[in-house]
Amino acid sequence: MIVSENISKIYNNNTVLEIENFEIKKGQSIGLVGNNGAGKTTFFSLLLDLIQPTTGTIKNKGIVVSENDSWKSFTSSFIDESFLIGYLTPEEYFYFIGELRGQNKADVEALVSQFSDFFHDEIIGKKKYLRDLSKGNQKKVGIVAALIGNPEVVILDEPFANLDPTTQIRLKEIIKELTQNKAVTVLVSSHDLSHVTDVSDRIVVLEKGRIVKDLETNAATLTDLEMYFSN
Amino acid sequence: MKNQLIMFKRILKLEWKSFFRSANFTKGIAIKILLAFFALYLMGLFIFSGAFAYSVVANAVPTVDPLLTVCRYIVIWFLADLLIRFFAQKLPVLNSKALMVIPIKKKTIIHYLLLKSNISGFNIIPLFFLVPFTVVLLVKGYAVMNVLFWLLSMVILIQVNNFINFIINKSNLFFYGIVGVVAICVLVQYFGIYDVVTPVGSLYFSLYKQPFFVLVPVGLLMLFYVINFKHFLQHFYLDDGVLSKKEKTVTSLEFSWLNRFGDVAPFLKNDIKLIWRNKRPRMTVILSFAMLFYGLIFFTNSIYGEGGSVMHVFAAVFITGMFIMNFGQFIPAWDSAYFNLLMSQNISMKQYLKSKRILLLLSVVVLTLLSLPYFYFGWEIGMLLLVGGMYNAGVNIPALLYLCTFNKKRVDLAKSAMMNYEGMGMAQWLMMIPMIIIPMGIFGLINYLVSFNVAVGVLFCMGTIGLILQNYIFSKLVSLFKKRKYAMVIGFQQK
Repeated sequence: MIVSENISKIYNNNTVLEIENFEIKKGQSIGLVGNNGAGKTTFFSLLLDLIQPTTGTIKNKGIVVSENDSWKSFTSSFIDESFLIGYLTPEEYFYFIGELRGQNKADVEALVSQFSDFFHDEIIGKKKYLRDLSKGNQKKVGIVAALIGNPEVVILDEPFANLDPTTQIRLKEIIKELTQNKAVTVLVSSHDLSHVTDVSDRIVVLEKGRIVKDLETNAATLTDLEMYFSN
Repeated sequence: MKNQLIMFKRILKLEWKSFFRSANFTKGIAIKILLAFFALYLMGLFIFSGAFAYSVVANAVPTVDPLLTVCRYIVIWFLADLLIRFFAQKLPVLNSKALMVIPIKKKTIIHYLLLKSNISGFNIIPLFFLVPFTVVLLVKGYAVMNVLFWLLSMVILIQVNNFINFIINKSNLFFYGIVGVVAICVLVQYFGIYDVVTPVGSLYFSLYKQPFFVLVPVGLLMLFYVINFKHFLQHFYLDDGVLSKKEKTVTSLEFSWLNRFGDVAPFLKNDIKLIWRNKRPRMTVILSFAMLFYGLIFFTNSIYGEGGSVMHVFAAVFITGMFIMNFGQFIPAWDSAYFNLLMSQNISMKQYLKSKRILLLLSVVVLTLLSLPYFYFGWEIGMLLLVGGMYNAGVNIPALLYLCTFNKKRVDLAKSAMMNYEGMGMAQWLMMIPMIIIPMGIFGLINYLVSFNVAVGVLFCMGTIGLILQNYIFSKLVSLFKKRKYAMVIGFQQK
């Protein structure tokens, strides 16, 4: 689904990302882990064509992301608050994203209503602008919006951070449901090793811009990762 | 009291640091220099008018004491001052939440905030008029004590305005109330129903006649200070007034009539919400409509020429293009807070820009239609307005969108539009050339060499050609925007 070849990003002689060949199969759920500055967000930004690679290309379903916009129709993402429109209410925001993704109001409402327990009665019908919601609630809105319009690739940067425990658990279920049919490719980055191993069937460890580990998830993965990061 | 002074000094030190260490401080030296020149210009203007007001008034109304005449019109100044303050003066707010939890008395902080507001430029600039004016009065032999106390009263009344403004700012109701009262007074005065100016003038004049009347302004000052102080004390909480705006419940808006614009409709709807719900774009748009009245100055005053002069071309382009200049200059920076979303969503750059272009075109159509009553001042002026609209639509919109490709400075939607230079760059200054200077030059030259009709025709043709070529130009602009996208993504993230 996603193929990156010789991708690198260099800022002022400082290499922040350098990945030779990396491929993600359709329907895989990938967990990206690594300490701060490992290059997780840089990789996502490259994948979303928000920054230009110094070398190499990334293909999303065969489309070179920096040359053609058409990958946007099946790819959705939530990276940070710069993906939210502060002066809209959550409902308006969902409808707006829905309109862009060819979904009418009823479609959007049907999807969003599935997440009423996730929202915990704090988001829908509160007549508040997104900018006036708490950080955690903003995040929930961003994550759910990334699920609108049946995307084939979903990219979530640090989705577990800032969420309360109940919501974290619910979010794990949501991601698992998303990938159970092996139709949706999910990329998640996280600092929470246990959550990320729970939801991913493949874990990629980045360090200083390079892939240092690439594991199929199994019972021992979490201990492996904890060992790795405690050194 | 001594403790309070020490605290004041400490807070002041903090603010000093926050000013000089802010990220924006070293940026935009050119703009700072320009602002400095503007300030010098204003000062000069005030000193000049202060020095010559007396003799001008004495010549204009020779039968009345010039000071009395000035007093009659000073009320207009005070009201205008209030109006400008309403839009431009920042309310005294605390820069740092940290001050709320460290052991400084609430009252001390509030006194500090209120006293600090007294040394705002709005209170100082009038002195550049008042002091020279007073000097002239003394030279002309007015009683020294009376004149000095009159000056004192005026200075205190300016401070009163300062505090009244904070109260007005709490609710729009006060503002519209004042606007209403002023409008009624102006109408009543204008149609000679009742002479408002004379009795009000005598009130101000009595501050000269009876020096001890200074107690009235002093009383007012104390009253409004206390009202403000009490208000701040009550609302000195994180979720309330002083530090942040109150959250209001909001109503969802639909605008389904905009769906006729097809694939760009979601953006048009969004832009309308953007304008409606955010302070800076909202004020920008209100100003654009207010500028429609600019024509009243330009088209009625013979110093700008008769029926279709170069200055009238300026006014016509300006009036019909105010929205494109004001709002358009910050495309796409208005969307800077969520630019990453738009760039990764299922939309093309072309759709995105097309929505902006349609918005600008709509504004030109609306402003041109609204300016049609100016036909009253002659068909030449009416023609110029129509041609100005055409020129804006055909030439200025693409020219502006081209300059917008250089925008990469973030715009904060919540801040005031007045005297706000955030988001300004070279592009904003360069804009003036194609937008105003070129049409004036072309019109002036052809009008001088050939005739008015031909000059108007040429501008009209330029606009038409621009509209005919718009799709071609537009596709070029789209690829330019695509190239600049990465720089915008980075720039818009920087606060």
